Amino acid sequence: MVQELIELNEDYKAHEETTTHDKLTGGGDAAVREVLEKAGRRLQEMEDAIGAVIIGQKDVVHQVLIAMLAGGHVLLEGVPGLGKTALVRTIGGVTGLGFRRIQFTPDLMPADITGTQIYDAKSTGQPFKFIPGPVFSNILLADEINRATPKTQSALLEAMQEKTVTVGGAGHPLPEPFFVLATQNPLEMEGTYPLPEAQLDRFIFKINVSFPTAEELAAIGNLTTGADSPVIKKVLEPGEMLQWQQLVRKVVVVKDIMDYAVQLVLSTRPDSPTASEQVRRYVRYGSGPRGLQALLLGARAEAFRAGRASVGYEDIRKVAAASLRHRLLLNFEAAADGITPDTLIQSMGV
Amino acid sequence: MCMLFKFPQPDLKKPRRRGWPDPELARALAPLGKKVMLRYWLESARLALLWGSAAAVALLALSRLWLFSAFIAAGIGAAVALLAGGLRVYLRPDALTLVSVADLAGLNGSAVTAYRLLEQRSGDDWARAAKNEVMTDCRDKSPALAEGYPVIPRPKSWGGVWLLAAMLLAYTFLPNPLAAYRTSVRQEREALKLAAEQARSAVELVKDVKIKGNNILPDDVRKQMASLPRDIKNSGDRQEAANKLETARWQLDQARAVLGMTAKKDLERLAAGWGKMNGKEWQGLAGALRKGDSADIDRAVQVLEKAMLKADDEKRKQIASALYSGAGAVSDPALRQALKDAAGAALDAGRRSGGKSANTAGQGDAGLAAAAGALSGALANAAQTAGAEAALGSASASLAALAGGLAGGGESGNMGLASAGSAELGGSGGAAADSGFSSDPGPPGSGNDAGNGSGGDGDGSGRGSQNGGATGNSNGNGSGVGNGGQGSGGSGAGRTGSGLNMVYTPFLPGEGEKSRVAGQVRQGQAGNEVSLESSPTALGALRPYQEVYGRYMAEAHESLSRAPLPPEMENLVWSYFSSLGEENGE
Repeated sequence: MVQELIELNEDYKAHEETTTHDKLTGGGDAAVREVLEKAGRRLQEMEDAIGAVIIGQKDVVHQVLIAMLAGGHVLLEGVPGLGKTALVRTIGGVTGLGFRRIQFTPDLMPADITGTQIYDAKSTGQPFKFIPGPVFSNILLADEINRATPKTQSALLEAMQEKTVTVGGAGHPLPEPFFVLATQNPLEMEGTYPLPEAQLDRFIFKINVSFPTAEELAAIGNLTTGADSPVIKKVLEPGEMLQWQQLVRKVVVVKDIMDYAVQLVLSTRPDSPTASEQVRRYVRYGSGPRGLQALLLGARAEAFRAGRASVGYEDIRKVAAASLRHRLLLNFEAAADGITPDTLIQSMGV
Repeated sequence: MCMLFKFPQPDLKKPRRRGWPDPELARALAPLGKKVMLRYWLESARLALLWGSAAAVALLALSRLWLFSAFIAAGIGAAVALLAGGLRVYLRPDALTLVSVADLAGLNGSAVTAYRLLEQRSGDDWARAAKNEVMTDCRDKSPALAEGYPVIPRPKSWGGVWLLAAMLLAYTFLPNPLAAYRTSVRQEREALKLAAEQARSAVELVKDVKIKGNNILPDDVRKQMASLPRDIKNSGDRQEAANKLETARWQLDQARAVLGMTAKKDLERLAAGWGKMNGKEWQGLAGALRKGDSADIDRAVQVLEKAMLKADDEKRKQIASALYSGAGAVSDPALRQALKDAAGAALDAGRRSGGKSANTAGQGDAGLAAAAGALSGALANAAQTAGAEAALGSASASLAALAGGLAGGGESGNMGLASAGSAELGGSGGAAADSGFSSDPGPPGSGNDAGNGSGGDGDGSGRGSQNGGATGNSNGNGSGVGNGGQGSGGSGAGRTGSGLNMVYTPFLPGEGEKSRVAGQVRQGQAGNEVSLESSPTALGALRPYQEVYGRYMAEAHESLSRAPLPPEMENLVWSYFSSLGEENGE
């Protein structure tokens, strides 16, 4: 399995390098325009394919795709039964990427995620053989991540940040692209272990999955209880996502728009001169540099998704809430007053 | 976005206006840019009007509390409006600001991206692609955005201007309660200025008057006199100026008293006596004395000397007799002696010539020449002294008139000056004098005996009454009733027409008639009356309070400086005079 993934990864890289080289070397700005238009069409096809299976949740689907383009991990928060798992499974199918799911429970151990070594001198000639865990996939669904112990949760840290797993002193690179799509239930907090700030910071977006509208609910009923099951159509070619991830980083951000993003991040910090009165009152800790990275990568991906070569103010605003909401640590007064991070981000004029 | 998005603010210390990196971008944004600038200039006009009107209204409101001209308010308001307008011109949007406004209006970062990419002129494919993309965006969207861009975003924002304009009109046309006060202050200032000029003229009379090369005024007095016009001009009110004038006048009177105040009379007596004599030498000398010029006097004395030399014995005796008569008429001992010496020299010259004319003998007389020279000097000195007296008197009178005018709040001149009538010896004649409109009781009169009398000059009418005895009562109206006997006068006081209280003044330095007071100086001495020094006012005259207050104050100041009094005692004295001044000020 691991070998297959590694080979697949190599194919992706080779494809990406060839494609990028062919398209952009000496092609000038016309080639850039062509790449952007093609990517826009392909991503629209992806969204349409996902939309054929997932009813509603268009914003969620869009934001997940943006996060994937940005090469980040996503934390989905919503009550059970809103299609979080189905969404992730569908994305895996549409993108043609490998998909694994881990149901996090309190007794889940780190080795259950990363893999373990077993004694098998016969087959490999080495005394121990590494059996990779479910983390070795392109898309990892960490379902109800807050139900595992912090020890197990932290096992994901290295994988998410470094995209390698170290077991028995040996590092094992994860396949590319690698996405962690974690879910958590905001209601049932008993017996859960809220994710520490360090781990939350590693998610590029935190996306709130809202309850579907009446029309969407009816459509879901029709689709899921009928005789015909929706078919997941594979849209992407191997390596396309990796190529796009690299192109996203080429999207232009000029100084003034960068300054705007910086000011936005700084204004979430209560000790900043630009912080609003509400932020000073309710926020204990604001966003850090990872917040800015998430904001800029998300904005670049948003512009790329729209087929543009430069980031505008609107791109920053579109991804601001998803990028920053899990990086604002509010105080007790905010909880008492019913203030949420989204409230504060909206108050910043986003 | 709104909270975080801020227009680039120009650095006031190092202003750097950003131009267009490429005219293509300026053309692309031109439709929107024109409207943005139009809105900016309208807003600038509104702010200039707002600040200018606010400044003018604030100043006009202040002028109701602290008086100044409405023209100042208008000028400062206009200056503030111009300043605000100038500042807005200085801070007018540059290209980068226009680009930012365009993004805020709907270009969503395309304009600033185009600006920066055109500025950088990067050869990167992505940068060029982005530049083409945003330039297209700007070209396509700018006209539509310009259509919807409001030149006057909020008409209500002009409400402040209208409100301030209405307040401005109200403050301009509603009468200012302080206007009357302002007029009185202006009049006060003008009166003080005029008084200062008049005081300057008076001071000019005495500042360089010298006798035998020495200035008649001490240095400190001359300094005070020199600064008097400025002090008057800078006085807080008329009363203060009047006090200063009165003090100055007192100093001049003191100086006048030092001169003795007899030289003029001496000269007048001599001129009157010698003017009746036959002979051109006497007429010339009398004329020179009347003229008061030293050179003329010297020439006239030389003529007299020659006449004496030419004269026969009989004529010399006449001349000597005239000179002796003159010596008897003058009060200056030096002049008297010089006249006697000249008379003696004339007689001696006659004796030496044996009854013949010395001129006939062809000889001069050294003794006569010396005596004539001494006489010429004494007469010249008397003339100078008389001139100084006249100058001091004139200046003093001018200052007194000024002080009276200022204290009286109007015309110059002593107001309500009154003098008591004098009672006849042994008869009825207690005097009551009053001045001004009688209303308030004045200080008690005094007199030994009562009588009926009348007198007093000055404005107003009224009559005092007195009771015989050591003290008298006086009222504004009434009639004196007293026991028969000897009375030296009484005094009553009223309020003058100008509102000054009259006070009893026993003696004022200066030239005038001598007063007499009945009684012995000391026990055992002969005589039943005492003669006082000459004074410009009769004994017991009533003078305006303010006219003498300064003099009393100055005298007290000198006395205190001489007397070794404890500080507490000095304070008591000062408190007393201060309270007198306050009472008068009421």
